[in-house]
Amino acid sequence: MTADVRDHAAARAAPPTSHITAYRLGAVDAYAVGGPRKRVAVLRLSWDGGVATEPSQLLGAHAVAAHAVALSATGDGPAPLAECLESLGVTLTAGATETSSYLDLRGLREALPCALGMVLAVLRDPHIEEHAFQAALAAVRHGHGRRRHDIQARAGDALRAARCGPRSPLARTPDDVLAALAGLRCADIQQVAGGMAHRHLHAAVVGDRPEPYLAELATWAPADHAGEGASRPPVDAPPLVPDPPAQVTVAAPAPRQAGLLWGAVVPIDGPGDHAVLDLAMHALGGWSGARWHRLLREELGRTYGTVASVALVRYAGATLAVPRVFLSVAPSALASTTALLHRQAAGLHRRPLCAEELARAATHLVRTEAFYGDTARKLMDRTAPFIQAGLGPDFAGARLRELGTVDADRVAERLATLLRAPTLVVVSEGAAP
Amino acid sequence: MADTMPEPLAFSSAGGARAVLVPDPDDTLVAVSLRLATGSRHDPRHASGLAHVLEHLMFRGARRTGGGSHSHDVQAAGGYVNAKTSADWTKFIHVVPPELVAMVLDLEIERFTGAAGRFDPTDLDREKQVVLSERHQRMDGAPHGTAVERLVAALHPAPSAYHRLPIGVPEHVRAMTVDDCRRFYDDHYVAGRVNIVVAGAVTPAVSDHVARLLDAFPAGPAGSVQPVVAAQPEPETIRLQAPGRPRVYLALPLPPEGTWPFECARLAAFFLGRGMACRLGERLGRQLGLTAAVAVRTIGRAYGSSVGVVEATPADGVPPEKVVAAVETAIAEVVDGALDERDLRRAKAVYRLGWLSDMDSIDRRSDGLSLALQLTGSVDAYLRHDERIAAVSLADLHGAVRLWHQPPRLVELVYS
Repeated sequence: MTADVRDHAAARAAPPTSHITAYRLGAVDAYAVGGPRKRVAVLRLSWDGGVATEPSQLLGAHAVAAHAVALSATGDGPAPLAECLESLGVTLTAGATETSSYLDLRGLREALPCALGMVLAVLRDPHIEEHAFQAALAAVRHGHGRRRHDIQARAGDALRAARCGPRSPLARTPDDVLAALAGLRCADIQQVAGGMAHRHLHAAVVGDRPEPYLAELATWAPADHAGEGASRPPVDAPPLVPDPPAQVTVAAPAPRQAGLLWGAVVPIDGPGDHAVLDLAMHALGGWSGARWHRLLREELGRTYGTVASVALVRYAGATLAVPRVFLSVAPSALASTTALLHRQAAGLHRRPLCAEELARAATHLVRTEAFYGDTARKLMDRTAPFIQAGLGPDFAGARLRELGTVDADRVAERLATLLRAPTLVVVSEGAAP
Repeated sequence: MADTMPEPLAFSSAGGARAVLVPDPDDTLVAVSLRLATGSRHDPRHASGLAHVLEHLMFRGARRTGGGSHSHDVQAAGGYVNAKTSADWTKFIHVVPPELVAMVLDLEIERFTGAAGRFDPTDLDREKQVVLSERHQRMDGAPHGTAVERLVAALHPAPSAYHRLPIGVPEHVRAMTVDDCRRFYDDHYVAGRVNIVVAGAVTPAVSDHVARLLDAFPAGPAGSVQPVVAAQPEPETIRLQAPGRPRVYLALPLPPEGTWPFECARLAAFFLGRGMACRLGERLGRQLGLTAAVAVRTIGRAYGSSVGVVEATPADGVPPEKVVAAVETAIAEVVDGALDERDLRRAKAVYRLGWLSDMDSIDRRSDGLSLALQLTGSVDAYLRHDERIAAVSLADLHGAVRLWHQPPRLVELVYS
């Protein structure tokens, strides 16, 4: 039962995500994503350090530091770095994942290498002024405040707590971060920002040839840099709950909200496992050919749509995948849809994903890869999770190759292990907080 | 990436439908953008949301020869498909590899040929449920989801055709019938209102398919382009309850979309509220510590007042009223002269960056080309947009900021 999509022309014309070149430049791991040059290119600079790896009293500190750097003055005058860059046609945004923080430079190709030089100059010797700290703190608080009221984020938090344990660093919530942010001082952020100058740097460029950036990045040479090993200390294997619950119910973050998230947190072993999960999730939800999407939207009208994804996080020496399908429903339809989804999930044993369903999902995933790579920003969003999860430059291409040849028996066999005991998170308007 | 594209190829049908092929040899994909000059402004007064429900219905029963739904057939082949209804337009977009273009155009011919005769009550009921779910997910069940709906309604009081958003109101959606849909389709899905842009890795070989798609629409006029009643609201404050941090929305009328003053107002929006170093963010956030976030955006309306929106989240402990006053003051400072060449350079650079980024995105590019074709009769305005923005002067920007500071100008929506 092999459904082969390799004959499709789009699969033969490999999308840019399959061409990632890695460069080691002393204290920098740089990645260049292939494909044609874009009018607007994106460069991501990232460091290890996010809410899952920060001390509890400093949760969010790396995100605030990245933001504050963008709002800090350059050495050439009082104007903040972001303003200088925007005048060149380059925007700067700061962000964070569970285990890393980053700065994205997005701009005109001709201006971007120069902008990178300016950012590196500030990063080498950052001076975080109080007002930049306060503005950065407010912005990061704002982001976590919004996330606190996002139903999908609430469901994701509950899933991680159910699978990793409520005290796991991976289960830290916006409330945990907001509490820690209240205690942060400018001096804390100055220390974190100052530490960036001594840290291993990860850089990824999308939409342009890498040479001009590599030349700038090669100048990043912290005097006391101890090499890659120092930035990724080995730690204990990530604890996962041995018998996770089949269902957890959490309070909706706002009135008139309800939703369902079905998924798991599982360690994976390479691109083969990732492809299995990717295919399974996309065979169930996320597009009009998926089993649950057809049932819940097309046939029953219970939801506007289903969202399927496989998030990745590199934590405690392992690569964890978070495969999941989410749907928002009206509170009045929550009980019946919950029961229906339980039946559907249980029915996966009786009616496993068949070769045709998997082949459709594979074709959809592989062929739409080019669409999700037509701008540098989309391409960065597509590839950065692999890079930031520490999966290396070959992973994206290997994933596509795995997707290109689908064997339903192998998928069923591997899924039986990886998704042996999934969890359904019910986000209910009426649940006790 | 091509810095210059080959000449567009334009043609039209006897019924008045227009099409333009805009090839770019460096693209690997093709976008097919079909725009109808009909939207929620054409909804019957007691059937708000009808244009949007009909857009949904067009994905049901679209196949005359069996097979799956339109979306499924395109997506299963590896294409991207989407649609959107706004106040003025209904848009159907596909992005596919070049070898699928003919298939998609044939599917579109099939879908739009005699579609009204295939409308089915069961399909309609299902799609009405989906639309109600969409409304719930995006608006009723989202903490701040109804803000824009309230603002637009306040700026375009009834009976303005722009009073309601395309999503409609639930009781109207529930009451819609197949006959309502057929009447709307027959009145509005006509050749005079159709334009098609095929952009990207497209060759003239698809011209025949495009011409046949144009012919799928029966002859019919372009329809009324009479201005919608201009917005002249009194300043008004609406307070809504929502969980979380307070948020403030200020709204004001702007010139119609497609006009040069509207484009200048958009540039002013970039100056005031786009980017980390935007004027309002810099002044209210970094200097005064009053806001955690500020954003400024425009909601285009082609045949009446567009809507400008300033959205601000107060910093902890700052009362929303103080933020409202600070926004007014910051804009007034600019009107009074706090604007220089450096500001102009930053605004134009950030604006240009957004436009070039849209040029990279094949679906956004085809959408921009299609809008230009609809509003000006040619795609040139979109392709030459860069030159036009480059020519904006400091006086132009100053005048555009004034548009954001004209009485009556404020509708305040304060959440707490």
